[in-house]
Amino acid sequence: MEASTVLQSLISGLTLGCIYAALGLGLFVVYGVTRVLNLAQGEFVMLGGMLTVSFCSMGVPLLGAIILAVIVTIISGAALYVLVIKPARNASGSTLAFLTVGFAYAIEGITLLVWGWEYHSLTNFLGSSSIHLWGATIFGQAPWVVGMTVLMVVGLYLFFGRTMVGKALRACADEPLGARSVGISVEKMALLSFVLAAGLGAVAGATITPLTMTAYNVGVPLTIKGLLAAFLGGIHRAEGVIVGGLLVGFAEALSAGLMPTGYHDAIALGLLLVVFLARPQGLLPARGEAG
Amino acid sequence: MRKLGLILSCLALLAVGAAGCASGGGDTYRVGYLASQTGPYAALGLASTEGAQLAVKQINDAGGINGKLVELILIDDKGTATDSALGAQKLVEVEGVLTLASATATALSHSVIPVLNENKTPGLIISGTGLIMDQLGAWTFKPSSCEFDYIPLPLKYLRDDMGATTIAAMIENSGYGEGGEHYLSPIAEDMGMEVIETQHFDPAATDMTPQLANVKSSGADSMIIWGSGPAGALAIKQAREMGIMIPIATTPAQSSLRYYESFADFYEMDPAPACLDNKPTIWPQLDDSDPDKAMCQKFEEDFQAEYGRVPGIYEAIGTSFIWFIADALERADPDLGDLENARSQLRDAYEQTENLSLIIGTYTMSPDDHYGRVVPKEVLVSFKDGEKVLVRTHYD
Amino acid sequence: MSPIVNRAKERAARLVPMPRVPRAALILLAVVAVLPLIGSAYLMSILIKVGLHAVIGMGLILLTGLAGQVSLGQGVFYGTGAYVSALLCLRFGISPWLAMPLAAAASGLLAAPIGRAILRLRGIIVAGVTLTVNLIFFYLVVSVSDLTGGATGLSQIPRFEYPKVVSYTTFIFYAVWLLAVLCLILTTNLASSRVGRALKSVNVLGHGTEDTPQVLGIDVMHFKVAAYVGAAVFAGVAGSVYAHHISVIEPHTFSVQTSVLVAIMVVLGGVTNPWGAIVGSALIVGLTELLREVAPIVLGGPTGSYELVAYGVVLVLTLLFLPSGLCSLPARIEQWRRGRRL
Repeated sequence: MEASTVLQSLISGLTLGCIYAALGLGLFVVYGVTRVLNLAQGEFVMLGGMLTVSFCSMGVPLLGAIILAVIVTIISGAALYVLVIKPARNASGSTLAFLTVGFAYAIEGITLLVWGWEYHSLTNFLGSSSIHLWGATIFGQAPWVVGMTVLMVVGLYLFFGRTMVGKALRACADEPLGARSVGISVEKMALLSFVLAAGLGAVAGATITPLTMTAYNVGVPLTIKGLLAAFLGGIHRAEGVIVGGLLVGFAEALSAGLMPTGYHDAIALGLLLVVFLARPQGLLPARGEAG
Repeated sequence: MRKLGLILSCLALLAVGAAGCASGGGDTYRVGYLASQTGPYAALGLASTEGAQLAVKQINDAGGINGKLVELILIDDKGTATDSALGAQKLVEVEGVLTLASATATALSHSVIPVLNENKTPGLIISGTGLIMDQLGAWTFKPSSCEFDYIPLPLKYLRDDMGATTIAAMIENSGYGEGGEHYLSPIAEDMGMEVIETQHFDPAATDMTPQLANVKSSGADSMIIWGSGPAGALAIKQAREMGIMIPIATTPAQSSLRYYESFADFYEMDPAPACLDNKPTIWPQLDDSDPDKAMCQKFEEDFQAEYGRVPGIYEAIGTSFIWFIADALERADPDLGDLENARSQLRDAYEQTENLSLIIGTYTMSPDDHYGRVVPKEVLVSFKDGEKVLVRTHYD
Repeated sequence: MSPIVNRAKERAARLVPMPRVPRAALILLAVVAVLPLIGSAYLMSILIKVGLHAVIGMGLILLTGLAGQVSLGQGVFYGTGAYVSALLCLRFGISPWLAMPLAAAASGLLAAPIGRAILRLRGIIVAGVTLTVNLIFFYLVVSVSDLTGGATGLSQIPRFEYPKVVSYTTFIFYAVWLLAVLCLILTTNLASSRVGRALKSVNVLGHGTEDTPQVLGIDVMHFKVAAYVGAAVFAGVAGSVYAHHISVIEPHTFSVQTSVLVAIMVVLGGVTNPWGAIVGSALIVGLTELLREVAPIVLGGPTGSYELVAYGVVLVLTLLFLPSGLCSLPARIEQWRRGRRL
């Protein structure tokens, strides 16, 4: 077991972990406010990447392309809420989750129709090149991915903690009846949570595309990884989701690097299952519970 | 009672869906085409569908076969074994096709074979592995490729052109990868090389740096990447970015121009990876004495004109399958008034295929050999200054 | 009826427990018996697919509708049944008739420890854990390729031996639907039995709490695990039949996608009603076939992506208008009619 392999696996784990954490954050935002498990979150990430690629190929400079991609994805997030979730808001959790699945199928089909089946990539932001460190390599886009996730976390923290809107969102999550009684429109907050999740997903999608490529069908596996991250770490807190994402990322990368090849996926997931069973409420307890 | 009404209405829905159109008799050759239009193999399926559609269009524009037009009936296999079997059954039973081509992944074509054999309908499967040979039965034909035919080509490149003796194998976790892994070691050994490291990756993996770190530390002096999904191309990029500069040989999927456009800088790092590919992509570089040059030129130009892009290996397979069927139809001239008999006549004609030169190979079938590739036609290409360059053919 | 006769009937019922056979089930059996005579083999194949998914779905209803545990992991037991049955026949040459109950038992045996481990959890985490278990199963099957054939899977799985008066497809059709009706009767009786009512009171999706049955003196975990094992056995039998029907199995058939599909079928059909599995399965499969039939007529060329979009839209619309599933449709129509009369 070479040191450089271990180091490379750790770097890979951090990068993957940040991607999964970003996905988990999108799930957290929606679940926290509406108690809906949005299984179309991966599609928002996919749309963010695909749209950015399209706008760039039309000649729009990168930053503008990302902004446009985020706008279009946000519109789809709003559509998901208004057309699909809101009319069914009294249905059971399972029904709501499967409604998002239906939406995800439709998005996937439309993407296949519009863009075809091919894979697309982007150049690293600002043309960043790789860094070599003690026998391991950090890809140029990796710091952008990690940075994006950090910014997301800090941004959400400030948003939920310091702004009126953010506090209103949190109020809805913690106590919907009370929130309504002080005049907060729960419906508007729900819409906002979907819009926010779509935006976060789109940013994540644009940022990871130079690293991972994108295509019409990358949404579903991403959603699954996001679910793992959210459940493992605890979907009731943003910190939980981040810890969960990192755990999934490190498990995946370290077993790929260090475990017997061919079995490494099963081993990684087996480890995660052990964690699940040991602490099913999530690694980080929900607010208000003893740790 | 109301529940029963519900069930019956659902069944009615099914019956409507399943009744389908009556099997057309008459005066067209109905050919079924089962491919992945959605699902994990959609890239393979849609590409080959376009190749097939082009061939059918050309045949019909030229007046058809034996004066009859060819009707191509497309069905999505959705990338699952169940839907493949159902799709094959629908084509055979409801659409009443004379024959069908199944351009789906190996695992899926396994489920098509029993349908063909049971319904006594001749069919072609794309499966590119030798592992399936003993299961074809009397009605399935495989005018495609087998690993034992084409693995020597990249190995010769690594051994003779690059002076390598040890190989690190990056194998995709898929049926395709398993076939490659199975044949790679023994064939390499026969050629005096050794696979000293094997790593696996998911077809949709986005980060293979841990596996590549293991490749690096193994000290192998060459690498083979075996996969059909996007991860294989990413592996080339990531390997080069990590400073792994040993010669790389790959399967056809990695030679797609789309990947090259995304990772051009890495693809052109010396030594540029050598990818299995098919002749139409580099036909101008073929020797003038190559008998396939004209055919490949025509195919590439026609495909460009129709679809606006260069055809890859899957498109070539789709076209080749249709030409294989067309050749047999012409010889058999089956009697369309009796479907059962017509299918049997066509099957016999498939078995009598002799020295048929297609883009992907030259085939001579027989009752004992439903693979029949007598001349493999893969080439090895690389990239230089934005263009594909011919590196080797089977006959260098 | 006089109270004496009633009490006598009750006593008799307790002495000799006769399963209640819903009349609708008998009518379904009659329809099934007749169908192969008028339908094509292709229709039989589609209905086999409906039946198999209905059986897995009924297992899920046992778990979800009665015991209130969400599971996205039926694929594990569907797959276990299929692989065990196939391997027993391929490796040891035993008859599929013997392999099937063994495979079902294997599924149940696998389910017991897993159920005991995960069913003390509550709420949405169970979905996540069952999903993880399903993923592990998938990767394990691919890894242990010497045994399972890896990603390529197993092929040439032997068929059931049967009196050759009908085609094999027709035989499997009868077998699957007989199985489905049996499961239906079983599930219906469980639902109305003392056990079922206790389970329903545990139902987290319903209105009971976890404390209710403890007050009544019922061991909750015991019944939850039993429901999980029951669901696994249903899926295991379905898996075995599937393996010997198509003769080819590969890991993707038993993946998370299939588990989610079955869950959607059950939700569409109605989670609290065993008929929901049949109705939901028929609807989804019927919809897929209808789209496959209609799309090429309306559009040309490869229509798979259009079908995918239409599928998603119909799924959304159906769930929007009938959030309690299709089986609630008659009740809803009644409500609407009553509303109109007023």
